[in-house]
Amino acid sequence: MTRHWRQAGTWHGYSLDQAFCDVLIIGGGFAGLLAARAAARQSMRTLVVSKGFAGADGVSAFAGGVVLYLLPEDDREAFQIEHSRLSEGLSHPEAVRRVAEANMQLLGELTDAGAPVERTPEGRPRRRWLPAAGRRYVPRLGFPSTELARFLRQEALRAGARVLDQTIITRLQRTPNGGFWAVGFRRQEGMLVAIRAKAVVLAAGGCSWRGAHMGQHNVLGEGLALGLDAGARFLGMEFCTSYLATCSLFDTHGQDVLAALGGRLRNRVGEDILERHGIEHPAPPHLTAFAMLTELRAGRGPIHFDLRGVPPAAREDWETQFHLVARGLHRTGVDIFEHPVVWLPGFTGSIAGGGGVRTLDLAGTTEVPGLFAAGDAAARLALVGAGSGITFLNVAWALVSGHWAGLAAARHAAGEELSATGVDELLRGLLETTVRPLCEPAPAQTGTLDQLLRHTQMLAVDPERNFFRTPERLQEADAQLDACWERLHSTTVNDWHNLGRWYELRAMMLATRAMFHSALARQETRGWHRRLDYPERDPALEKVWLVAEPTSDPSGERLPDFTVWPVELDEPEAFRATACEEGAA
Amino acid sequence: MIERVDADRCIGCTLCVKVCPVDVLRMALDTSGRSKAVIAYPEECQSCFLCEIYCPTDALYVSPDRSPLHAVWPPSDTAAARGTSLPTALLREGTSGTTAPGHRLAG
Ligand SMILES: Cc1cc2nc3c(=O)[nH]c(=O)nc-3n(C[C@H](O)[C@H](O)[C@H](O)COP(=O)(O)OP(=O)(O)OC[C@H]3O[C@@H](n4cnc5c(N)ncnc54)[C@H](O)[C@@H]3O)c2cc1C
Ligand code: SF4
Ligand code: SF4
Repeated sequence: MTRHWRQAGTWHGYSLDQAFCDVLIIGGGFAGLLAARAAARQSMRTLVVSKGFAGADGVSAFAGGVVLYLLPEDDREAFQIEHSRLSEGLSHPEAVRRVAEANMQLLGELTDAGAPVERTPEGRPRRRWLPAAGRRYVPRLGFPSTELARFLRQEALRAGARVLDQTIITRLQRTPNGGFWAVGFRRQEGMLVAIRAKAVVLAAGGCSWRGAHMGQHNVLGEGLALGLDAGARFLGMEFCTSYLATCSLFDTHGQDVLAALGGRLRNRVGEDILERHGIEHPAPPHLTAFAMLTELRAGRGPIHFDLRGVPPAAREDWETQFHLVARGLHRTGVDIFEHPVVWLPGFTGSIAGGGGVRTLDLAGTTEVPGLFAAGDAAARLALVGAGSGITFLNVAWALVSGHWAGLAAARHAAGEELSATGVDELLRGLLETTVRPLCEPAPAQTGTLDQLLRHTQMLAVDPERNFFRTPERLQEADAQLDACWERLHSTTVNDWHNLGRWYELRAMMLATRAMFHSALARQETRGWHRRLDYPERDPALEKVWLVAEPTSDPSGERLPDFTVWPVELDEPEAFRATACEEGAA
Repeated sequence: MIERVDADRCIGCTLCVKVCPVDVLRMALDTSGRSKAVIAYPEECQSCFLCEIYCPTDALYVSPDRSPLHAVWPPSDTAAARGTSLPTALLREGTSGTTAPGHRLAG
C-alpha cells in the first residue's frame, strides 16, 4: 500500500478522519507507548491512539512511581519464593522469571537512553529496598511518573510511531479481508475516526470503575470491552475487586510505601487494624483492604493513617516521589504526617486485580488473530496471581507486555495482506453503531448518565456486594446490571463528550458482568476473591484460572451472560514470549 | 476540582485542552473574539494538576478538593478528616442518607 497514512472525508454528514497503518496501538499509557516503540523499531507503520494525550494519560502518568528492578547479582530465588506465596498459587514461576528478566533489560535500555528515574550522584539508576506490600525482598526503582510517561512518548515518536491524541476508539473488529477496522471519534472536534490496521495492540487500560484515585477517571474498562467486541475472552475477572487506601482530603496514594516507612492504619479507638486482624507488616494489599473494610463494617471506623512515625527524611523523600499528590496535599493546608487524617478504601478494580483480556502467551496473543493485549487491559495472572495489588509489578508488566505485544503485532502485520478498503459494509456498520446513541440536538440526558455511573459503581464497589461475596448478593447485583444496560441503551446523548461517557459506561457494565459471573463460578476464597460461603482456599483450585466468554454478541441490545470455565495454568505454552525471543533476533 | 481559568493570563495556547485526560477544558472565543480556555465539563475533573503544570502562564487553578465520592464510600468531609469525629463510616448503601439511584432504576 502506498496510500497516504491519513485521509479526510465525510460520512452521512459527519467528518470522517481515516487512517491506515500496519500496527495500531490503542492506548497511550506505559504499555501502549512501549508497544509503539517496539513495533515502530521493526519498521512498521505504527499509530498510537489515546483518549487523552498519550504520555500524560491513563493511570500510567499518575502511578506511584516504583517499579521492580532485579539485577543479575540479586537473589532471584528469594524473590520467587516470596512472590509465589503472595500470588496464592495462581502465578507461574516461569512467567515471573521472564517478566522480571525482560523488565531488567528494558529498564536498562531506557535508563541508558536517559529515562527519568531516580539516580545516584554518579548518574546510575538508584535502587531501593523497602519491605512493602507483603514482601521483604524487592529491589525497586523510583521514577516521576508524569516525566517517565512523557519520555516514553518521545521514545515512541523517535522510533517513528505516529500519535493521535484525544481520540476514543469505540468499536474494533477483524475484517474478512484481513486486518482490522477500529472506529471511534475525536470528542473535541466532533469527528468520526476509522483506522484500518493489519494488527492491533490493545493497551487501553483496565477497569477502575472510576475509582477514587488520580488517573482512574479515564480507564473504565474499554481495554476489556474492545477485546470482547473483537472476539477475545476474559481471564481472572473474579480478582478485579481490589482496593487501595486513599486520603479523604485529596487523592493520596502510596499506602504500601507509607506503611513501609512506619505509617499505621488505626481504627476509631486507635488500634493498629492490621495487628487487630493478626496481619503482619508488610501486609499484602488484599489483607490491608480486608482489615480496613472489616473495621468499617463493624462500625469501628473511621480509619486514620497515623504517619507520625515516618521519619522527616522519609517524608521529604515521599513528597518528591509523589509530587502531584504532595502538590495537592500542600494546598489542603493540612500536614498529614503530623495530624493523622481519615483514609478511605478506594476501589481500584482491575488496575490492581489482575484480570483482563485472556492472552495465550506472554506476547499478548489473544484468541483473535492479529489482536494482542498488553498492560492493564491484559490479564496478568501469570505474573501476579490472585493476591497482588498496585505494587511495583504493574508497571513492570505494562512495560514488558507492551514491548512484547508490539513485537508480536509487528511480526503479525508483516505477514498480513489487506485487500479491499474504502468505506466497506463492515465499516458502515461500525460507524452506525458508534453514533447510534448520539442525537443532536436532543435534551441532555447527562443526569441519566450520572445515575447509571453511580448505579454501576455501587454494584461493583460496594464491599457488601462485591468484596464480602455471597451468591445471593452477587445475583441480586447482577440482576440490577441488566436494568442498567437496558437503560443505557435507551439513553441518547447530546454531544460528543457525553458519547465518550456512554461508551465508558458500556465498557464498565460489561466488565462488571464478567466479574460477577466469574466470582459466582469460583467457589473458594483466594487473594482478592472472597466468598463468605466458601471461606477457605480449595486445593483443587490451586493452579486453576477461570476463562469468561460471552454467550451473546456484546454489541447487542442485551447484556451478555458469561460462561466461565477452568484452565490449568501448567500448560507450558502459556509462558512463551515467542515474539520477543524469536522476533527480536 | 478545577476552579478557574484566568482569562487575562490565558494566551490561548490550547496546551491545557490538549493534555487534559478527561476533556474538562475546551477553547472558546471571548467577547472580543480571542480564543481562551474554558471549563466545559468540570464534573469530570480528577484534580490531577496536569493542566496547571502544562500551562505556560499559570492561568489555571485546581483546588485540591475531590469531586464527591459515591455514596458507598464514606463522605470525604474535610473537617472530619482533620481529626475531629466522623460519623461511623457509612459503607452500606442506604445508610448514607443519599438515595442510591439503583432503587429507582431497578424498580
Ligand atoms: C494511583 C495509582 C498508583 C499506582 N502506582 C503504581 C506504582 O507505583 N508501581 C506500579 O508498578 N504500578 C502502579 N500502578 C499501576 C500502574 O500504574 C498500571 O498498572 C500501569 O500504569 C498500566 O499501564 P497501561 O498502559 O496498561 O494502562 P494506562 O496507563 O491506564 O493506559 C491506558 C490508555 O488507554 C487509553 N484509552 C482508554 N480507553 C481508550 C479508548 N476507548 N480509545 C483510545 N484510548 C483509550 C487511555 O486514555 C490511556 O492512554 C498505580 C496505579 C494507580 C491507579
Ligand atoms: S486537573 Fe486534570 S482533570 Fe482537572 S482539568 Fe486539569 S488536567 Fe483536566
Ligand atoms: S495552557 Fe494556559 S495559556 Fe494555554 S490555553 Fe490553557 S489556560 Fe490558556
